[in-house]
Amino acid sequence: MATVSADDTPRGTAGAPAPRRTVASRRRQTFASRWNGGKPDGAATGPGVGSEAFSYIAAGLVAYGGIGWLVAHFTHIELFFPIGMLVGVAISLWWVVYKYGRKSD
Amino acid sequence: MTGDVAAVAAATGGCHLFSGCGYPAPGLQDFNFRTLFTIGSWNVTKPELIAVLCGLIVIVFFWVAFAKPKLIPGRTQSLGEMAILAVRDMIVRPNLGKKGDKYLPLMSSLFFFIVLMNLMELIPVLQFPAMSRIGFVIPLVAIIYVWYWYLGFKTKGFIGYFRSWIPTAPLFILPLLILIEVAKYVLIQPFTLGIRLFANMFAGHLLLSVFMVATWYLAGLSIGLLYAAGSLFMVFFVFLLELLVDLLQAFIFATLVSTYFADSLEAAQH
Repeated sequence: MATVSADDTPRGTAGAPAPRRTVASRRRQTFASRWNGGKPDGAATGPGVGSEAFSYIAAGLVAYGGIGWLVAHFTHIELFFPIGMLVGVAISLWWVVYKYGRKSD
Repeated sequence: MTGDVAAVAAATGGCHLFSGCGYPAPGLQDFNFRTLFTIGSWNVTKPELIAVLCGLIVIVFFWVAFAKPKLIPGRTQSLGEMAILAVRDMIVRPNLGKKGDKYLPLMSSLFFFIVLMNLMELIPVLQFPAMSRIGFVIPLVAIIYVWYWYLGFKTKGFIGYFRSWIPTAPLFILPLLILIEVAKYVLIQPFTLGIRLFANMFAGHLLLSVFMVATWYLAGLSIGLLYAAGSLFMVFFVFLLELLVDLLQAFIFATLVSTYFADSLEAAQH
């Protein structure tokens, strides 16, 4: 005889208590909303996500590489330029992983 | 001499393997064209003619298909409907949802214009993808860029649009991320949108030219004939590859535009 778990209970069954949300389903929901960046329907998903992740990494490289270049230009210490780029990429990677990559199974 | 004709003519004009001259490698010179004719002060070149031709084809096709729509569609209307529905179901709806249907005319014309511009590299005689000239890509990107900023201002207000750039992130890293978000919206998005299309078309055309010219150059009554056969095979292979790339690049461009529009149109959260 097949057993029916709480998650298999059809919703809206008269008299039956609402199905309990399991930890796994809550995790899935968290991931789904995180995948969407917490945005409503219509936000970047699918092919747009990969492009956006790349945009973040390139933006970090450009923004902090630019700051590093400026600092290097005024201090005459050229090391600040590559340091700036590395810091930018590190921040961007962290943000991409935080925003899109926290997948739970 | 300019354009593809230069290298091919060099090869056909006696410049073959073992004839004493080197391989006339295609290069940047193949992307410069001489003036075909002049209208006033406007010097019309082949890429410009291709762009006008592609624009006309898109306008005339959709005009013929939908000027007098019938309940039981004819052949042209059926084809037009299939084309529009493909763009709607593969590009617009997945990114913008049903509210994006009002941008369907823009996305359809954008997609088919870019497809045609790209496919021109595979059409004999024309044989040039106009999108491999960045001068055709920049205005297209500029129009889209201005458009999605306008939509952002309209939906969220002037301050609200800039405020929507602030990500929902932990406070300790938020100030560092704001700079990255600004760089993403202002520099990276328009740059990557345009460069991706331009670079793919440029590289594809160059690759095709390299093998075409090599086939001519290697052909002769020598061992070169064997290499020429190999090069000819590569021409067919790259031709099919470019067919895929042409369609894919137009699809990616239109998809990215619709995701940018979705980003601008989403409700303000701050």
